[in-house]
Amino acid sequence: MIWIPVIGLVLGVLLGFSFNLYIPLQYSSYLSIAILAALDTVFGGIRASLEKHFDSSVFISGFFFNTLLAALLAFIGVQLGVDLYLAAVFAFGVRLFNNLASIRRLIVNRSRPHEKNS
Amino acid sequence: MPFKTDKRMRLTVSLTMISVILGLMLSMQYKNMRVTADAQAKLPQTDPKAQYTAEQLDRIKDENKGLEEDIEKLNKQLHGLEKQAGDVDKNLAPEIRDDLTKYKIMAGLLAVKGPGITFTVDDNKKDIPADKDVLLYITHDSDLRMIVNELLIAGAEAVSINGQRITTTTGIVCIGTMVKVNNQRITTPFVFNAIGDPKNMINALETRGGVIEVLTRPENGRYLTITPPKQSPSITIPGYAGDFNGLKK
Repeated sequence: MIWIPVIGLVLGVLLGFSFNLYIPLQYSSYLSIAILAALDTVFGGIRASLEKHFDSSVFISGFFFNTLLAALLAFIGVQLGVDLYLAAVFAFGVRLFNNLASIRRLIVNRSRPHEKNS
Repeated sequence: MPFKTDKRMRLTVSLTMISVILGLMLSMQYKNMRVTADAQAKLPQTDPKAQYTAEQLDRIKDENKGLEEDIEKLNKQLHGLEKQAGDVDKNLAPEIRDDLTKYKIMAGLLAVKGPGITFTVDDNKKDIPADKDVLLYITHDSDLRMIVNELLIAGAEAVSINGQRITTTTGIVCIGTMVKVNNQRITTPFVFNAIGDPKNMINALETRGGVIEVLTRPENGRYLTITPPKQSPSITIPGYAGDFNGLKK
């Protein structure tokens, strides 16, 4: 069960490489911000599932909303000459690390009860 | 139990869906980075040295511009001083003033204007056969000296090469790929201007066995490119602005 999302990831990568899909180079920075947001959302989802309060509609809406919002923010920043994408990078980067830290703690705690119970 | 599996199903499905999209985005971005990296890798191969040279050229050009402005400013100053001196002379004696002007022209200090000829001497730009000596195809300081000599003998009153006035103390000497005239480096094409009797000078240059034949005819062993001397009713030759081998003006 756990492997299905990983297979999905691999499938996505393969799809991207096999089809000749290109994002114009000038939008590359927006895509990178969007990827950061998406990564954050995915790890957030994994964390929520580990904490057992995962909600698929919140997860999916959060994924698209965050991704688009991050790209939009970067776009507005470029238009205004303000490096708003730095804010997005910072915010999502911090959240990404928080999520990863939570996931690590949850996994460590989950493997621990055995020792405590015994 | 069914509720739990349902929930787990939904989790897996949504996570998988998002993963596919994320994978797609990741691969696309990766491809983009590869494209930009390739483009950047192609560029600098010709760059660093050329760029450095170009920067140096720019800097030297700027420097030259500044120095040229300096020359212009100093020339203006000089003219002003000469005018003042002329005013002083005016009060003294007209003969002395005329003499002074004459000597200045003779020394090459004053710009002069009059009928004369102009022509250009250049290296042979065609491909040089492998069995021939390159030196026979390029212009040497001795060639320039020969031409200047010929012009002066033919009655030239003033001669300049690339704007450098030939004066009593002008040396013409080879310094590698350039020629030093009046301590200024000049290079091909060498534009000669000479004031004097145009017909005399042209005849002297173009006469059979004359300097142009010697320098351009293959049977004489030289292959330079010299444009036919052109007569002009009014040629301006600038004055010499330096000093005379240490003698202050």
